[in-house]
Amino acid sequence: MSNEKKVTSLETEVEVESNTSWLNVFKWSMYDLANTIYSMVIVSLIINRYVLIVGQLENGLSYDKANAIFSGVVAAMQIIIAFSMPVMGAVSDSAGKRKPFVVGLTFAILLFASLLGFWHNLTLVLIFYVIANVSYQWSLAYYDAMLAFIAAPKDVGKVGAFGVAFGYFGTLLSLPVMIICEGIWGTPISQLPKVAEIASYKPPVQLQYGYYGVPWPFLIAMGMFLVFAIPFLFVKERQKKGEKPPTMQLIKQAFRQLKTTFKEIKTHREMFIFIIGYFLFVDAANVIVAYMFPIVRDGLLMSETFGMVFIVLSTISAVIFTYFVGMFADKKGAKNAFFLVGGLWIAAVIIGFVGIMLWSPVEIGANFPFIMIILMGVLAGPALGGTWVCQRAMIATLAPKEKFGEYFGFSKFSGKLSSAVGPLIWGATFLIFYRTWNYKTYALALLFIGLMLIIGLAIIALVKPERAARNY
Amino acid sequence: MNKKIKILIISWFIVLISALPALALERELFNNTEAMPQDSYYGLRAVIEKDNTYHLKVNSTQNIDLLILDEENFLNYNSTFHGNPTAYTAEHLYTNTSLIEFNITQTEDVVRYIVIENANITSNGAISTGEVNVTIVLSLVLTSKVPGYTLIITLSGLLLVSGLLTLRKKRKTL
Repeated sequence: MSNEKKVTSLETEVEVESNTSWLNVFKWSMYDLANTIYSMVIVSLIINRYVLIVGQLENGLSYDKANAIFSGVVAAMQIIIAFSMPVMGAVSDSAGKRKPFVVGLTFAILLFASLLGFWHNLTLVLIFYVIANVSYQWSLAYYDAMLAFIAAPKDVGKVGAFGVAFGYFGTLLSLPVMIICEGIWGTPISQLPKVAEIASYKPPVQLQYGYYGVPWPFLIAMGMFLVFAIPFLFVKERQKKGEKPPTMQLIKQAFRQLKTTFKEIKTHREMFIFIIGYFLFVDAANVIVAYMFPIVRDGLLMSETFGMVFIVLSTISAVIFTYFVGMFADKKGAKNAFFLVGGLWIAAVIIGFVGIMLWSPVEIGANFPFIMIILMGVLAGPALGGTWVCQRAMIATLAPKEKFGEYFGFSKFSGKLSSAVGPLIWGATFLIFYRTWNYKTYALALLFIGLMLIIGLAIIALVKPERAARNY
Repeated sequence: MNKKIKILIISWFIVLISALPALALERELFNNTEAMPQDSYYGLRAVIEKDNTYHLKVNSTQNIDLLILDEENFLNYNSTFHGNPTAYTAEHLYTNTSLIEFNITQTEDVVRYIVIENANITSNGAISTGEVNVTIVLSLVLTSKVPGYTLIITLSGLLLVSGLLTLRKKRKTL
């Protein structure tokens, strides 16, 4: 039986773990594996191109309009997520247990993500996706908050990393299953190829749903999520004791806190500059990751299977190299680490841009363009992992110790809110340029996102960490 | 051997090997041999990008006709082919031949249909008498701008790094 430790604060009496049960950690981490299947299959692989196909085939929309609609919906969804997260955080902090919230929200994810495959109706697909994805983001808020109640304070970092590692397994497990689905139900075509066969005795190459067209891949992916999430039902979580304030009061308190933090951050010049720079920087990073699969498939005109392999490659690269970004941040400082990560992103964006403009369709084999595309995947992994590492390191450098949690939470809020801007730029680029630029619009969109990244980095360059340190 | 020099040699080797295909004068976009039944058409729908030169080569075992059509005229041709005569005009027309080779260039991005006809639709064209084996190859003619930019940038980068490393090494030895 694990020991308990009571920490008394002014408002509530919180009971946290003082002894880590690794079996309990395993059950908790299995949820990380399970929910990564959702984010990988639905968010990264399917939803964008599924919406493009539904929009074009069922609603007669053009590729650019369908893309703009999807980007608009994603932007609106990100705003909802950004503003609801502090509420979720507050509810989670005061809730007796977080597990029931995770379980309830998981049920919503499973239900609505499964429904995605049943109707090829643009409105329904977008509604189901928004519900599933908002539930997913909310569930993460509760899931992450469980960490302190299943691990001893000294093990929190280790246990968190354990969860992340399990998440990577989720990626590696789900992609082969989707490759099999593609083999059985066919390859989706969301954009007509540059050169396609026509014949009076053959059906023409046309837009097609492929494996997105049947409910099975959605059901299989969500079935995998369900199966791997079962151990989570048996996680033992310490319960918070003390009186729970009314929910409305909690929500008001959360927004008041957000407002106060914003006002306070403005007085910390270095932190304020960083938050603005980070807003642009992380937005660019989020957009590249969100559209990585369509960039490879519809921009570089490579195969569906290679698109999946590319994501696996970036994931493995992130696992291997993010650690070194952390080491670099420890040795050379957070600001220099941002330059390193920014350099990785810029290199990946340049390769993507040149690849789409000059090399598409990139052929798989021992040729220069293909090697460069592989390099792009290898660079993007640690660039993404490194972005979070640098954010944490920079906040730790700039924020007063007692404000670390508050400022870190605010930078997360800023990151979520910024995720709404990128898709809008992306969608607008397609709306304006797709007719003349065709698939090369992906290169143009990457260029704009790259510029945003450079501006973000230039603003971060103005931050003087030594001045912040002097102030505290 | 110095570790940096080893890395440099390996990088040079990878770049040179991988750049070899880029040095080719043409990049094949499509290559297929098709057995066309009697009274049929076969071909390609291709996005022709502005200022690029495309090389088309068609070989057949019997005489055929070849038409290059834009989207609207292709739809009309297709209608005519399926028994609903609708007027169409081909941008290029080659009749009664078994070997065709030419370049396509456009001043703006367009969609073109390359239609090989083994049927009796085109007037004064080849007479379809049976199955025809046809080989169609469409390539992008690589003008210096395609491999040049990337190759020059990469090679200059490598030369610069090599130069800097050599200078540093010399300075250290001095």
